[in-house]
Amino acid sequence: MTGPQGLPGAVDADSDALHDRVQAAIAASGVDPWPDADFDALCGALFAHQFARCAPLRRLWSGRGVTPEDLGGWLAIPPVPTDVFKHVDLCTFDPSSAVAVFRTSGTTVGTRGRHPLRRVDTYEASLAPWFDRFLDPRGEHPQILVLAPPVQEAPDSSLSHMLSWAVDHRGGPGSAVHWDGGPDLASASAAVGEGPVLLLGTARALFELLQDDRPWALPAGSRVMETGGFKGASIDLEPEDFRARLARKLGLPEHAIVSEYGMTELGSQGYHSVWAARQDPSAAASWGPHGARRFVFPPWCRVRAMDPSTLAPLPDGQRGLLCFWDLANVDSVVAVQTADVGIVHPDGVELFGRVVGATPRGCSLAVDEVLRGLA
Amino acid sequence: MSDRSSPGPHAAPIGRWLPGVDAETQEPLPRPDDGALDPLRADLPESEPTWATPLPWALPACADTLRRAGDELARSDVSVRIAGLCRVARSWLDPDDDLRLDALARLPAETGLSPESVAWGLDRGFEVITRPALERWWRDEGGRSASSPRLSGHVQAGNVFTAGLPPVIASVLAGVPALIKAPSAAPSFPLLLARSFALHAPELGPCVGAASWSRDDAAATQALVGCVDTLFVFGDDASIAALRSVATVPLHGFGHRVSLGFVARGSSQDEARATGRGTGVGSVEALAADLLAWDGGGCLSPRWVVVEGDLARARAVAEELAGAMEAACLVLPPGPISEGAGAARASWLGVEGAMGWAASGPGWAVSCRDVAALDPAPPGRCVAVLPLGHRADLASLLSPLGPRLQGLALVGSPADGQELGALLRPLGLSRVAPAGRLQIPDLVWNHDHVALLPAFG
Repeated sequence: MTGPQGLPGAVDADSDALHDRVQAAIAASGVDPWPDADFDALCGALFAHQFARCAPLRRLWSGRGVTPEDLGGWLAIPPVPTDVFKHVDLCTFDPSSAVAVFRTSGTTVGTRGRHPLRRVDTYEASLAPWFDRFLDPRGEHPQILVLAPPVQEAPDSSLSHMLSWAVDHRGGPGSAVHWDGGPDLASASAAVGEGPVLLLGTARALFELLQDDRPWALPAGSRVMETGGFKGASIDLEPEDFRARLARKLGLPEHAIVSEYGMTELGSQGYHSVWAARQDPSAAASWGPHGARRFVFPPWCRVRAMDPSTLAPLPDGQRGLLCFWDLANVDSVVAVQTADVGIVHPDGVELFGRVVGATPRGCSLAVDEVLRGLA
Repeated sequence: MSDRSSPGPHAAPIGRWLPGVDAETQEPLPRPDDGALDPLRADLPESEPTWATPLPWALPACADTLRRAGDELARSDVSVRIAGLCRVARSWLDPDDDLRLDALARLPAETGLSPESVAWGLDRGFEVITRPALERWWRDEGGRSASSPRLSGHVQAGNVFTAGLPPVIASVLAGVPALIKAPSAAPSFPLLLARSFALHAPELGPCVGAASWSRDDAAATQALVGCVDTLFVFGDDASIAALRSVATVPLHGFGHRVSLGFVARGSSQDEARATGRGTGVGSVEALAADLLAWDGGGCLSPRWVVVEGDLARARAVAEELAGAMEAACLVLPPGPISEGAGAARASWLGVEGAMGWAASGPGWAVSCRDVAALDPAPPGRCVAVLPLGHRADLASLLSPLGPRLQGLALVGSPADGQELGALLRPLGLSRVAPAGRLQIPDLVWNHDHVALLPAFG
């Protein structure tokens, strides 16, 4: 493999070394919390790597007065807003050599963000232990049914990549993606076997399942992972109601409906702990015996709420914009600022959803709307 | 000074000031020829009561009172009207005036502006209303005719609360009473303004009424439209179009617009000295006040500063501007920022910082990049500095906005201003001012190319 941006192959060696360090650290720690020093060291190394090799990040970070030489710890790395992914390639390598380019759906403002990956194995190394912990804590390898486009059909979807990985690497007999231009509910329904099922799907696909006339009672021990929200669809359903209706439809307890939080710009994911807490008694110390409707992120992905006016980190318990420092983002951006609002609690992140756009004030023109041809 | 006690900073917003309508019952008061009308009888309520009479009935009653009083107002000598207007303006500039204090207490919560910005807005809005200015305005553009309206209607909107003031001043100056729809989210200023006329210019008679209602209250809006002879409407283009479709009287619309700054080639002090051109108008430092006024949400708020020259010159201007923003923020500090506004600001800063250069502080941000493009648009109190090789390309750069350009804050020479004014007039430009003065328009400014005083002739 040639070096990125015309640089010698050493750049790849540096990147590979970082991938190896991250994967080794994830493997060594499992799901246990990381000491600050370990997280700081690896986060600082990724920051230096990205600062040196990605000009837009170097401009942004040095403009904020933060450089590898004087980095005061992981929390000092300025998070990069997800909107930046829509305007420039944020990667440490030539994006034309990416093995995968994940793209956002573009449902919010039309422009799709891009997240090029030089390697996907670190993404998968981050994905696996947390997927196992929250969706299959007993290692049952249940039958996995996926209601989302297969990766062959949506190669730029990080979610499709994740779900196809689950089928390939964690699925028991009869596991498959059921999609035919939309959720193939007939096929999925017919495929349900005798044992517990892990149903993975987008919220929109599962909403279609709610409208399906077939009886959908899943075997005992089955659970569902829903993700992605309704993506601009005109569906007026609160998440609590959605989960309750889904549980009734499938004949499952509500705690078997697990919400996942993931995004194109992040290599790691978070999950509600309601299922895992009931399966893994040792987890009760962290989340209580029943878990919580809060998203729990792996120790290699730290999250903080930021004050929207100062962008300074807020203490736990205060509402703000969610920012992630994700070590799975080796060759892109280690610190990502989302447009989601939430509160960080000791037992997980309480999510309130996408921030409501700034209310237009005064008689100034809504220029963004004009430029997008909406006015 | 009035004898009304201040409601305090947490009082509920006031809802109506309708001469000719009883403040408590909202029933029409006896007519003047019944000898019982006393505009001061309608004390300002401290909280929104449950009105006995819906607005669709109260507005025509008020309109009837204003029309009758307006006949006398129209017959009065213009010097009387000017004197009354000046007293009203002076009262708003009086730091001890009760109504000003009331406005200062209410408007920050209603508008989201800081108390300092509210005070700045009041001062700048009323300081231009002087006897010489009014006399000159009347001399140059004033006059009445048989077809002059007897009552004007005003639909005000948004947080730039003095934007709708000039048409009201023009109306009273022309001897035409005014009836104002105050925005329901920020009703206090028009209502206090109406009251200030009654308190400080009683010789003009009841000449300004105001009430607030939601834009969704079609019956009340229809009542307003049906009882006035001309309309001045502030709002977005869709709202203006909706009103235009039902109005049967002349309607002057003031839509949402956008402005920019322009730093002409050779306009910096160093350059002027080097070229012997002498000092031009405006300065980069002065631009900061234009950018921060109204939290960047006014139609005269520059969103971009175009620098004639290369990237290096634009960057130098951006850095100079950033240096001026801190000091300007002391005069015009930001109001509280919402989550949405904070996210938008952070996002814009991130994109600009990744694509070029950006600097920020509490309540301000400045960016500079090498591509002259409007997208992404800066949010309030943020500005993008763009290099442009030739001013002839300015119209092309701004063309995506359509004819929605309002003003230009200039750092350059008067000749630059004339040239740019001609160049940009097809894009809607109606005001060119030295940097630092863009947001302080004179009364004679033809906002959106509407000649205010002639509209009453």
